Amino acid sequence: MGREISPFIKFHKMGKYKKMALDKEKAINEGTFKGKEMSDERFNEIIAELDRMIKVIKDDKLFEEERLKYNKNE
Amino acid sequence: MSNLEKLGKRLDNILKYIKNEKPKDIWIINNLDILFKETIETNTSIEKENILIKKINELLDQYELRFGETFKNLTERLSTRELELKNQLYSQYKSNKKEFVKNYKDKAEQVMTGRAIKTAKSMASKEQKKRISEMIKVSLANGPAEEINSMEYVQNRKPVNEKNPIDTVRMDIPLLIRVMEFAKEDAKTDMDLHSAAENMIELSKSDRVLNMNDYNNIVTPDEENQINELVKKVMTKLKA
Repeated sequence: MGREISPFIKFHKMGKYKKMALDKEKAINEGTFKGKEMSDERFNEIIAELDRMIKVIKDDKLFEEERLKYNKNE
Repeated sequence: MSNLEKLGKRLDNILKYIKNEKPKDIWIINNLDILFKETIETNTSIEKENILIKKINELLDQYELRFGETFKNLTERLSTRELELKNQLYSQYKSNKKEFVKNYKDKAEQVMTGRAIKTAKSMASKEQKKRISEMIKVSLANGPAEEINSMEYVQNRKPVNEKNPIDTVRMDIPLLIRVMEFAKEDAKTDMDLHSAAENMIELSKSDRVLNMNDYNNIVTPDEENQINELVKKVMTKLKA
């Protein structure tokens, strides 16, 4: 049984990503987490996408191109 | 706090920073949002989860490096006064952005932010030195402080008339949560907690509800006390 969360927490606007992480931790601790298994293929795809983004952020030209591309699509 | 929670918190800070300061970079958050959610919603081994967390942190490190500053710098490491000065200076530079772009091209933004932080720190330091020198002048003009243990002082002292005679502190819920986080995660020794409590009592003397704007003054060392200590030392040397 996990630790009960204080009712005061609902008044505090916690950031959405931290809340997502907390909810997952809580569900795992309580044994109620029901996530689908991540395949090796999907894992490698995510790593490749993160590597691509790192490369873009490191390079001034690519970074500017990505900015323009995204803001044009918006 | 687990690595996943730390990453969540970091993403929240960066999202806030991008929304306020670099809205054109929202593509980074939008891309990461999908990948982070997938990491949260799927069942992965701890090893794989750690690799993903490490990779996302590496990406965020690179983004921070791009602007030559850390997001913490903007919100945590600068004192309230430094942050105030930095914002004023940055606004001034922004009105003269063409000149910066002409000289520094695509690095203009970085130079403007960096210069604003550096100048703000230097200005705040000068202000503090000026305050110390004024306090010394006042102390010298008034002569040596009364000996608080002397009979004359005890007989003539005025009754305490403060708005917070019993030490009470009122604060809003976001600050309460943050202070509890500080106690759980950041405070290293008991002294840190005592010092934070003393700062909260000091700030409560103006009889108001403390909020997140007071946080930096609660957890950072009390500058006023440091200055008073310094003045006492100088006075002792002068007397000698």
